[in-house]
Amino acid sequence: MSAVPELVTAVTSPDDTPAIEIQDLHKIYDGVHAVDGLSVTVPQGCFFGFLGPNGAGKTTTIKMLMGLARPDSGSIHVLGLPMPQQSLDIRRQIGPVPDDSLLFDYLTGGEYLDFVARLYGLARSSARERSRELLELLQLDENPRKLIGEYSKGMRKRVAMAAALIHSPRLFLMDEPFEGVDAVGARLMKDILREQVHHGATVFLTSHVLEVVERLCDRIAIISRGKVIANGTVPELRAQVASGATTLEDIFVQLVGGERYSGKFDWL
Amino acid sequence: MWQQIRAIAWAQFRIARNHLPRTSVGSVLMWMLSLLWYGIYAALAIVLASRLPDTSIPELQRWTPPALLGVFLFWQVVPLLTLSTGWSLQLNRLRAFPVSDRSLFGIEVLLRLTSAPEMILILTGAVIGLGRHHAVPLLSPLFLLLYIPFNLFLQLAVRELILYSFERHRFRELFAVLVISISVLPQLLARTQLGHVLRPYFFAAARGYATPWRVTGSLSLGPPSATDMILLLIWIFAAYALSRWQFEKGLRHEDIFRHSGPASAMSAKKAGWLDGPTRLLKDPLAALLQKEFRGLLRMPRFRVLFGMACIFSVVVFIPVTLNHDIRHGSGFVSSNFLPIVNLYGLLLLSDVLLLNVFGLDRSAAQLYFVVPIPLAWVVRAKNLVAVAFICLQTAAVLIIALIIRANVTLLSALAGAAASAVVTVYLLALGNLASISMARPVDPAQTFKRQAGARMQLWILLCGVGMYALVGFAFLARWALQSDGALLGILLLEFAIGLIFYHIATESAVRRGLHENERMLNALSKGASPISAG
Repeated sequence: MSAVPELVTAVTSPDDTPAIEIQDLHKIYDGVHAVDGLSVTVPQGCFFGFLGPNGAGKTTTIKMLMGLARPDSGSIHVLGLPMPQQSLDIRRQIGPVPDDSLLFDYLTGGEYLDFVARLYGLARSSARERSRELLELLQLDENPRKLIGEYSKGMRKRVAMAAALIHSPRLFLMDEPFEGVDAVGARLMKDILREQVHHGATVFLTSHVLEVVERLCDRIAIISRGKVIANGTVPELRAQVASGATTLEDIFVQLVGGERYSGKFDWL
Repeated sequence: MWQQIRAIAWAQFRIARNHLPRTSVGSVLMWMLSLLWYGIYAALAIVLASRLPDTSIPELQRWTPPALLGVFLFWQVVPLLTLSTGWSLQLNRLRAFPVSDRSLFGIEVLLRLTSAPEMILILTGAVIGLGRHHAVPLLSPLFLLLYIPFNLFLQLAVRELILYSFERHRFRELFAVLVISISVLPQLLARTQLGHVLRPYFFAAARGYATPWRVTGSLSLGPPSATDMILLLIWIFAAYALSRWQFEKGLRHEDIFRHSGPASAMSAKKAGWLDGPTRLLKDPLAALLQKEFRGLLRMPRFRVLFGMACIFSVVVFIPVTLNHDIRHGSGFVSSNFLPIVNLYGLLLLSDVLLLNVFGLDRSAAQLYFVVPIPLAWVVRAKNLVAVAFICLQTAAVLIIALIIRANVTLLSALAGAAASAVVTVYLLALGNLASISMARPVDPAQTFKRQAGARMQLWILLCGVGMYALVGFAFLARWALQSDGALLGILLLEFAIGLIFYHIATESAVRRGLHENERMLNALSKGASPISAG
């Protein structure tokens, strides 16, 4: 199956322009700072992990990167273009996988991919061809008449991933892409993403599975309460915390602060 | 059991309270309209409470059974007519918790009260009225209250039957036709010669020995007889057994039908024919149109709704015309059959096709903001699909009217099409604005209208009034000038103004959509509750 190399042929080689450049970003909901002065730079051709505890502002940030939410202040540049001013040009070059579903329940997986490909401007014949290849690649071709509404959670994530790949984007924005996906599917998705990065694409992903992030990502930013509290490679992050932190999980817990369960309740 | 019932009711109350805007003008007005509607029934109940004491016993004996038959029919048939069965439990959300089937059944029975609260008011008024009657034993009217559980149990059985008939692929459309047929019966009885012929049979049925309305009527007027009491208990027990059986059957089928999402929707292969016409257009418009057609046609509720707009709208007006000669009638409805039927059908389709165009997409509407296409294209594609369905509905109505030999002339066909065009263009314009500013998720598995929310229901109501005012003005011009040309001329003028209005409104809606996409997408991603609208 040679679908992956074919898909990435349109990916351009990395240049000096960062894939993502966020400066002093603020987003306030009902008086609460969801994102509070966040600044981060993601170089092109990088596998970037964006971590944080629940409610830290990851999804809000990724939504602002996709143009689904408007910043209150600060600036976002995606592939050198300002968001939201040049939103349309940016959208042509990104492959989005948000946490909420982008999927239409009453289309089959193939129809959905074909639909999305055509919205990205692909010719009908190549849209159909790529849909077929991606369905096969992501093992969704077993029952082509099955509607997306009948898919399991993992299958839905795989279709979303396929839709993000279909136009060979330069940047992937992924919010919890492996959530609900079985080990085989997750392995496949990781291989595809690695391959994309190898060919010059950039992946910006959030995940709560820290082992996966540790293994995949070149660079990691950890945010808490809307601010970046640590940024760098895993060894660089390790250097920022007290000794004894060996895994990314240890580093993460030390940085964001956390408690260990010590049998507090007699009923539990 | 009661603790779980209280917990579910509390959760529903909190969701409703948190969900509704507390200062919405629309909500307040909708509450006022509801008060007005139920106020009419409350007034009827007051009339019963005050006038029944003065009615003679022979008169009461004569009219109580037919009245109770009327209550029975209202309770059991109205949910069929509206394709809405009141509030009900979202079983797929609750079955994960340790709530016993008995508790779920108990809650579901109580929720049947929401299917016909009007009848509760009427029965309460009757109990008070009979209680005040000097010739009726003091406690006898309380037997009327036993009519409530009988109807509640039976309504639950009917609801389960409707629900699972809709889930079954082959029965769904057939069932919709049956519903349509049933709905015309009261009108046929009330307005036609056939009604005069059938009326004695209705009264015979009402006074039939051992029927629940007859025994309840006898018991409520006293003195109670043991036979009637036993018969009423048998009826209640039979209704209970039937509803329990249907409910448990429903629970057993839950995994097969409801957990499978749209599994019972139209098979994917049948949508291939849609690809043909869209080949003539360019992407992304063609892709958007194809997606819209496929999605809508695979939603069973939409297909039923569209079928109703085509057939029900014709059928519902036939009895009105039957007292006149339908072919050459002189009555207003007979001579304007096509415009009236078209507009009625359009109103049925409006809330899902025109006034909340992103509703069925729900959170997937995000896609339109992350792919590189202008939002204006999406809105226009959705509008084009709506226009296509409305054209199909107009054509279907014309064909059915010709088949039944209604009063169809070239002028009435033109007037019908023109009226539809005028109303469509204004509703599209208003709908585009409403779809952005009042976006609301619509679950295709539930009744569309009940999900519209107070503000949207008010909007639908206002659009309906405005729509009839627009077309009514043209008919008024025809009446005043005694000229068919005036009718068509005014409609044409309104259409031309409507096109300008559509252009401005759509531009404005798109600008607002781009600026407020976050609010709109949040509204479309709102969560679910343990009790559904019906």
